[in-house]
Amino acid sequence: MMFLDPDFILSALRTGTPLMLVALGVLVAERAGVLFLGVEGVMLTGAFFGVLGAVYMDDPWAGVLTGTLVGMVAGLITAALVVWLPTDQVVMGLALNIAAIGLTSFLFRLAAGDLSQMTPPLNFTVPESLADNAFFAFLFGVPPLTWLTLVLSVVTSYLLFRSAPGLLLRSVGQDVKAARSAGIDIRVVRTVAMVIVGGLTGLGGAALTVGWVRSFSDDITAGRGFIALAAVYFGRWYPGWTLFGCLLFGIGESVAFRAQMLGGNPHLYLMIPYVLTVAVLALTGRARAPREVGRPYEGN
Amino acid sequence: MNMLTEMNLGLPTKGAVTGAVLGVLMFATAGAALAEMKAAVIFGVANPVAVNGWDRGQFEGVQKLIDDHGWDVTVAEAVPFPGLANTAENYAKSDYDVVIFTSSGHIKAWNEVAPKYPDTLFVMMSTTSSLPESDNVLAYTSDFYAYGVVNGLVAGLATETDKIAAIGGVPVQALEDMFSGIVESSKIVNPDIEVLTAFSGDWTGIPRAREVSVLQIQQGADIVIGNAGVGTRGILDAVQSTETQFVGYATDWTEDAPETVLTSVLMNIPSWYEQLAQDVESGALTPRIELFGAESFALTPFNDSISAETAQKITDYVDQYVNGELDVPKVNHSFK
Amino acid sequence: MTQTAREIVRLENISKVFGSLTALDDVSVTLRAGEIHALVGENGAGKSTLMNVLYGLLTPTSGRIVVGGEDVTANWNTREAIAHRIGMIHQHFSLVGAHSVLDNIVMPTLKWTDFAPDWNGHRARLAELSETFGFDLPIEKLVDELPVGQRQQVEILKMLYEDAKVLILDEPTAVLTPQQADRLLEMLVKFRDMGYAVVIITHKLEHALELADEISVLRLGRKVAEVRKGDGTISDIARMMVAQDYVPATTRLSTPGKTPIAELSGLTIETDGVRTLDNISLEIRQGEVLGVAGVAGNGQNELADALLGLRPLSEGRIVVGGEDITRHSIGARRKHGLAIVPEDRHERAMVGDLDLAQNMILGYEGEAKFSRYGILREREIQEYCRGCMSEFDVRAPGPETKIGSLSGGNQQKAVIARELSAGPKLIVAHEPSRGLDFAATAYVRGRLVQSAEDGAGVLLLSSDLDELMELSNRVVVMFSGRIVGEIQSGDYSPERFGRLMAGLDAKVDGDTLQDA
Repeated sequence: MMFLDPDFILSALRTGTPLMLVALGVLVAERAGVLFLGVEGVMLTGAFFGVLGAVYMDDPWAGVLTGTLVGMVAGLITAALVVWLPTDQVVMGLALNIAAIGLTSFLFRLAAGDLSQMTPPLNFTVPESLADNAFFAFLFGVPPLTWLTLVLSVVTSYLLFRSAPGLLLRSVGQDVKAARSAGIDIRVVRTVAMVIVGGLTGLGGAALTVGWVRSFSDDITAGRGFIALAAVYFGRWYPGWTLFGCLLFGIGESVAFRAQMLGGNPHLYLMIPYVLTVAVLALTGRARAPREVGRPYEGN
Repeated sequence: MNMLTEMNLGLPTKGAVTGAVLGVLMFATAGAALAEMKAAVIFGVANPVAVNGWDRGQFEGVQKLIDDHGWDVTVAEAVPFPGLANTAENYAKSDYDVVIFTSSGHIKAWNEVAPKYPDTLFVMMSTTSSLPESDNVLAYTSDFYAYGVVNGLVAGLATETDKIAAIGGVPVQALEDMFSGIVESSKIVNPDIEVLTAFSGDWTGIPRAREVSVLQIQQGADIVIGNAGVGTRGILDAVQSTETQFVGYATDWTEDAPETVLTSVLMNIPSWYEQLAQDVESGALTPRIELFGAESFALTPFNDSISAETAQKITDYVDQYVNGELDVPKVNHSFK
Repeated sequence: MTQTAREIVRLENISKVFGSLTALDDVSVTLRAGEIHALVGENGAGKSTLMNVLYGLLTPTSGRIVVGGEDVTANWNTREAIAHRIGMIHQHFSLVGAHSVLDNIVMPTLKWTDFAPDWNGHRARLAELSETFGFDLPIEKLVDELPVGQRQQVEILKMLYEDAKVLILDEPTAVLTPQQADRLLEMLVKFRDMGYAVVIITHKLEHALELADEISVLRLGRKVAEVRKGDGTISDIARMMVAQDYVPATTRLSTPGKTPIAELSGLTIETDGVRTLDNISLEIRQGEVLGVAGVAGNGQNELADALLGLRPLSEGRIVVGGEDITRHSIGARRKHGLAIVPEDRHERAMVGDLDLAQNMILGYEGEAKFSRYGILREREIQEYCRGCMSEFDVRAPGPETKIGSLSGGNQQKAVIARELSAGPKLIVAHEPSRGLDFAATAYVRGRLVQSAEDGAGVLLLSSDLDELMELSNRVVVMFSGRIVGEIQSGDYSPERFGRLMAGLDAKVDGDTLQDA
């Protein structure tokens, strides 16, 4: 069966993993009340530095780490702009995206000679003894970063909804006044949150380049950050549903890859994931975002 | 120093210059050998030298104009489609002698701008079926059908699964010609051959090109021929991850992944630029489409994924074809 | 328990300056265990500012905060305040509506490093506390789903859960029915007896006098007096607040005419089978102020909207000045002599970014005196605006001042000026004095009464019983979309209102108007 074979599922997971990581980041940001429109740019930055780290240190995990760390720095810069300055979060986010395209394209040019090689692969190898077993072959075929994503989602979900810092963070996102009167320093919380968010987003970028296609090109994210953002809205700000949304997009794109072989105009099939995203968003109706998302906090 | 401008000073009206561009250029060659040609090259992609394949090939050609012929060349990168005509026009207005387009996607702008600026030579370095209605145009390109034939000979002989894949970005004319050549020639050397073709949908998306390639390989292809612009990196990654073999497009891909690149079929794009420089110097500027045939292609040394025997067989077949001893019928397939 | 009042908090010479505005000027207040301290004063007198300083939300410009004998001024913030057992309920609650009661109550006590809070322990402690103080809250429910009275209980429990010993309540009775307010005040007395120090910010002087062991009177950021229990009367304190003699409310004596100016018959709004407005029939006579009482959310908004034409009626007829206007558009209704002073003036009555003059002619810009051929006559409008400003005592730098920058009182006066200048037949005033200070309230009320005396009918929807009793010739009470009783001006008593408003004496047989 064309659509239910392990290869198809693996393809959907490869496509979905970077989205899931980035969506987790966006989710945490919005839960803390920050509208993270700069997500595309931070993802792109993580994607570039991931490749850079992997090539120069000749180790894909070093690349993943570099992408994450640079993402954290980008998160900190985002926080400086949207949390500490009373700027418009929409305008700032879009400006960051454009800046990121410029920065990565410029650096890519400087390093182009070194980056023409593929980054080392980031995969598990199936032990010889298990290679013939289809099930194990599938398990080992799942990219390591997908496993990491699953672990991170469980951890994020627990922290957000079961732990004290999670409740405090969500309070900041829901009602600044209530949080303040509980003695919470809104800015510090959002800054710390944005560093974590940046880390997740940078990791998502690295998952796209180092974990999947092993190279970089200008604007390689091509709107994936925004799709992750849409997935968060689709998931009504809950990790489980959000990840499901990302996976849905991954499945949609994988269907498009295959549907092409069924004949017809490839461009029509390539629309499938986008149509799917829009349809799903339209069908889920208007969900309510954490109340403080997008509102500048000006303190007193 | 701009000779066209200089010469214009000696001519009474703009009208007199119209249609006289050839004469002007010939005069320049004879009279002012030291005069520097001012040329602009327009790329759709950013950082063409980093995009292995077509764009890097073009860039090497540009380098030739500068290094071997002393041209003063300006390169415009990442010019979006809507901005092409405007960009070209601006160069023409700024007294550039030659404006060079590097993609079939630029044909519309080429048609539009060339007739308006008769003092400037507009060159298309890509496949085109017709020329703009103007005297100041030239086109240089490879015979993509022949290029496909050579690729098909390589892949058809190297495959062990009798399945090869050809993956492109968007089904433009050049790719259709090339893929048709692959289908016809591989059939000659391997009657059991099945050619899988697919398109990633654009010239920039690495992830999509990768996944589309993975699919073809999962269907049994063990030799992959790929040309998806920037996305070709994704094809190469898919081939490397699945430990199959890649046939490099246009330029030498060995360095990118030595164990994965069986060979590259060089298109020698720089020779088009060499021809252009010579044509300008000799004044052979009658509008025409200069087609570079099989003799301009070359194979880079094979890696050790195939036996010496197979390698020899491939070389023999390619030589025969280049020498006209192997007849491949010209059949146009459609891949949309 | 019986210890003599022990000092817990001392605010010494607190000043707070915002830019050019001095919000607090050298104010000192002492809070003692087992005492209720009332802070009274007009809007903007600095009551809330002072308590926000104590709660660590604002940093004082100068002065000292002493808690338990220790100077804590340096690095004082809300976390510190909570740690020093100070709790505060703001006038507008500080609750996270989308979170459960439990989450709201527990949240302020949680530590950032607590990755696995003992939720069952918290539940148990909360249950114990609820029992001690007689609360019965659905702790897993979202706060958004609770009625206002219960939300306040959540706020109180939140303070108690933090182990607060100093309880600050900012205008706690503003949102409650008289019965709920009484219960709250009883609870405060209980807290006092248990040894808590209670601070209540209020504009209800009778509450302050009745409850407080000590009253601090603030005016324009200064503390003007400190009154111990039994040392003052309402008029003493009111005088200190406004620095002029307080004129006690006079019940209207003039009798209205017999001619009905407006008749509402059988007004009903039904949405999805629910009647939010249920067969309302009223007659408003010339020169009459007819009050509508009721706890917020019992159909008053629907009634006001139906009259203005914002919500379509399912059934019923509206007749004003002998003409049926049920099907008229909003504009036609206004032209026909309907004036509206809406509850939320920001939302419904003014455009904050437009200047005063533009707001003064909103809805009337088409009239010949304001525009010709569709072009506004700026000079005439400015002149008209100046006239209104002086007639209605709107204090603003000039007609070109943005209305949004004016104080609430002046905004409301501007709205009143616009609505009354059109010479209306029926005035619908919904909470006309909400949020206004003493002087502005008196002024707005006076103008409404004057309009009635000039022959208009006034329908006054208000949650302030004092206002209703002071202005109205008679008052009807709404409960769950219906009129459940009517009281004539001679028979007013808060107890009767309270029972009707709580739906206790509601007649079910439909013949509700003859509640004699």
